[in-house]
Amino acid sequence: MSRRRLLVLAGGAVGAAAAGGAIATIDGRTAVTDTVEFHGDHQAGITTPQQAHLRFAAFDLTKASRDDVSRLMRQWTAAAALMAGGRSLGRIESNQWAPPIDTGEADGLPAARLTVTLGLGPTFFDRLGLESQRPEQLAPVPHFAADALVPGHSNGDLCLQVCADDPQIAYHAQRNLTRIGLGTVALRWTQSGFLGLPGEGRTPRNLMGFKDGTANLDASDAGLMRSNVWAAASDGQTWIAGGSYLVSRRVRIRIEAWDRTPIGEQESIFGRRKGNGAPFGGSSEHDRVVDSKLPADAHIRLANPRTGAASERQRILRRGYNFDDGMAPGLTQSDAGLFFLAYQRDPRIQFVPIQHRLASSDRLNEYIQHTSSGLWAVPPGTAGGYLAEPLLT
Amino acid sequence: MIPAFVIGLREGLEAALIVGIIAAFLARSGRRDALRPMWLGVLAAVGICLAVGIGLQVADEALPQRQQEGLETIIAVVAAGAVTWMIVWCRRHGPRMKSMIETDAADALANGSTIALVGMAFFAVLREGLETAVFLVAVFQQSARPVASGGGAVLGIAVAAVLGYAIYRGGARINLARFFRITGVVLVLVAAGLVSSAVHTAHEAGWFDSLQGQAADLTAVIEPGSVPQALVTGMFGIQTQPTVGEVLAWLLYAIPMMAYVLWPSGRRVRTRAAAATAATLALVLLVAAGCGSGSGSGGGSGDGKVTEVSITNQGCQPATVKVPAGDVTFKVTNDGADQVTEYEILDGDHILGEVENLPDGLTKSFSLSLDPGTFTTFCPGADNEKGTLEVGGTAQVAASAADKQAVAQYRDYLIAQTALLVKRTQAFRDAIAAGDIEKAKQLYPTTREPYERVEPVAESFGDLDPLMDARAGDVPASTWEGFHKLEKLLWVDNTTKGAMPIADRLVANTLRLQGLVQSVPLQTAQIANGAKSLLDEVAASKITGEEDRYSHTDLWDFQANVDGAKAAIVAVTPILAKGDPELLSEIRQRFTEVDQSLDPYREGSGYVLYTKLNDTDTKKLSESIDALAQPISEVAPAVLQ
Repeated sequence: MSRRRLLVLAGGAVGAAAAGGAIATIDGRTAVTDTVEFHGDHQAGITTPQQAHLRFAAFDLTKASRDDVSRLMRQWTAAAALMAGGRSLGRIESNQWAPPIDTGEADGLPAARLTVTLGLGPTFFDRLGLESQRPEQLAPVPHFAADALVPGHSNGDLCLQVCADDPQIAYHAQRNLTRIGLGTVALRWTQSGFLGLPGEGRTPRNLMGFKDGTANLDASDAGLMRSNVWAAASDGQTWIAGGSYLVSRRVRIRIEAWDRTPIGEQESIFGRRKGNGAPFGGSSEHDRVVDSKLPADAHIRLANPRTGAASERQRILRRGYNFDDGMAPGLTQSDAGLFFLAYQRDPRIQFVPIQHRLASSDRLNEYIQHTSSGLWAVPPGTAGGYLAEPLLT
Repeated sequence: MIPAFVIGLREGLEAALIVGIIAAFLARSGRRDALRPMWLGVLAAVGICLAVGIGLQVADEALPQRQQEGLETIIAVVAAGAVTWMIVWCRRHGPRMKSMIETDAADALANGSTIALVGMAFFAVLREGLETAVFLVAVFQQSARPVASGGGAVLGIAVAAVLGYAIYRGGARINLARFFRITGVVLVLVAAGLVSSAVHTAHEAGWFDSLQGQAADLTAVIEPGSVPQALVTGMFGIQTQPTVGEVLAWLLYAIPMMAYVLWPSGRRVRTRAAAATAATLALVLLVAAGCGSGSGSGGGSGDGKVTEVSITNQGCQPATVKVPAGDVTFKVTNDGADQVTEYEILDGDHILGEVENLPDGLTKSFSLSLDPGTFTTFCPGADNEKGTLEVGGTAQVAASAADKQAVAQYRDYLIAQTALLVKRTQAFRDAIAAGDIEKAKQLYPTTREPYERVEPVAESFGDLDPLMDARAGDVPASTWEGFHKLEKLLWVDNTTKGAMPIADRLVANTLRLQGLVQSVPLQTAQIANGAKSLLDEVAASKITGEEDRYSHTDLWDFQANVDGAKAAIVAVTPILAKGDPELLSEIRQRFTEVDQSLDPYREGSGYVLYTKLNDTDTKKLSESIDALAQPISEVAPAVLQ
């Protein structure tokens, strides 16, 4: 065979190899320069693959006028869209006499997959005289056994879930949106969070060292999202069709006590092996969970009893973050844990029954304490308009 | 990724060879006009195979779990069968493949039929392609990284196409016989893995249940979740903890097939002799497996660490359980029994261990340390309530005597404390009955002391602790009773109105607790872990003042928890003194430091109220508790040697 032919063949082989290699890396880690489109049918930050950092902020309305709130939503929409696109809110040096429009600490940094997601608390509707538009699904979350909720760190008239792969980007977005809101809303409480991303479809771990999210809903499964996450117009209020409901719970972990606990007990509390996440009775993480092989009060068994259609309907889309807020005051104990966030179509039949089961029987309860709760109606995507427009107009 | 690559390469090369031979033949016969339709046919075949592969995967994913496992079993078996057929066929016909194809092609041409020729190419590619599709779907389902496998398959096919082209455009020579033999070896291993996986998924699908004893535990050699494990499981289908059935299937397939592939070519394989050898081999292996996993089936087999037993309406199964002496875990399953929900192990009349409240279908475990001897299994309510437990072997006499001593001493402590609890609770109740709020308040903290000393044992009885010690919000308001409900009535409502029924029930529960600790099964590991739990209690609610929210008498409870931990450690001190004397002396030192850290807050025969403490005070207490809790957490492994 002539040398030229050989070279052509070799080139063809290399080309094929490249194609094969390209296919194999499609599910690799996405780069920090990626942007997530802000506008869409659904708000971003729900089915978006989790970013590494969270800044969650809850606000109270200081003004009761619907017009003021509409104006704020327009401003927030515009600002969030700019920041999600990696752009500044305004030139840094525009007017020597005026404070800068953009606080500046994101300048020169890429967008880092920033998402901003708005939620409306039950009291939002009361404060603005929109009681008739409040969805039934927003019924207050009941008290669960051993809740130790701090009222000032729970609930709120509205919230913003800000996520990004860069903590400075997330902070910048929440800070600037808060600034824009001054006069209409006031910051009530904030929560920072972080998540180590192992990439390539692998499950991240919580601060107990266990893989968290092995059996989470698949956010890329549109059918599952429609049945379990997205509110439908037929559910009650039409303005929230394409939106969802968010439950936030700050779960403090008794880290020091946990770290003293024998590994055998840790694993039997969850029902999974710590190292590879395999359920009891299985040998790898995604093996089928066989309930009879788990202790009766194992966490994964109580969270998802796998009884068929009934338990499938309860499943929620979890999107939580680890947090470390330093030391508990007056103790040599950490104030760290899991800031649990879950999206669902109807908390009354999803989160609430799950949490009742956990609160009454989960042995994990010896090592955790719920210190904050929040329930939010998450409006649909903006698709050209502004956040919560269908509700406010 | 490697199995997918090899499959793509080998199947691709076979298809490429066949198509190449036909194409070359057509060219040589001056029938280049037939080339185009042939290539179209090839493309059509590839398309169909892709569709089938995707269709199979989609169908599989749409199925519920059990049926999914069933379909995966079928696919794995078909794939293994296809590979086997391919290996056998190639070995038999390989050398003559080229001439066979050319003969067929010549026949087709002679009959004037381009279609027949196109059809030959089409069906050749279709056959290889369908095998590939099925094989790849099977491998994808076992693979942890299907996208990487997909890339591997594409790569393999691409390389095969290039190689095939190179061979038949002249020049490149491959020793086809060796190529097929080497790829054949890899494929035998992969196919053996498929057969083994089929056994695994067939069990998951619920199709059969036998031969499920664990054959080996390779976790020491291959760490689950590591790269070597992914390779070994992905390539060869070897699980880290394979069952007897899976190992058997693997060996039964791999050994004869490997022999067949490696048999020197030219020497005819004497099929009948081979079949006979294979059959004998199979028989030997089955018998060996049967011996290995069957000896226990008459006697409740286990590998010494975990013994599986069950409850049926007929009685405890198996009727005779045999275990070796030492630490044993009994895994009890309720297998369809509606009259029986308990499984107990008795030494004469004394309960050594048990599970209760076990409904149909559920499993619960408990562990015991057993000396050699004969004991009784007891399933109350069954047709045949009692069975036999035979514990064989020799025990480490020294350790078990010390264990017994530790348990006995700790039980004495439990008996003494619960008796004290009953007495004090009765006095507390009497003060409430007399309407004497001041007296009741004065008695409240000391009444609780014996309870807080033995709290982990009380908690082990399920409903007792919530009934006696729940705080507001721990249980639904309508069912709230016990110490803290009375605390609220006394300190917040300043009344004894409505308190009597609650106080009476509290006394009744203390009597219940007193009865239960007489015979509760105890093990040294449990006692050690009880000490750990008590200190966790201090850290969780006593240091934070969350225990006694109305009376603020948390420091009484704090000291009581620490006293309870001390008593537990005292019970295991002889064992610890022998096993880890340094740990023991560190623990003693830390207990002293905790006592000293509480000194500033002692007042008379009691303590100051929690509200008198500021952050600096609680921080100091917290530090001393942390320093004690750490070595305490090391006691359990130390006393279990």
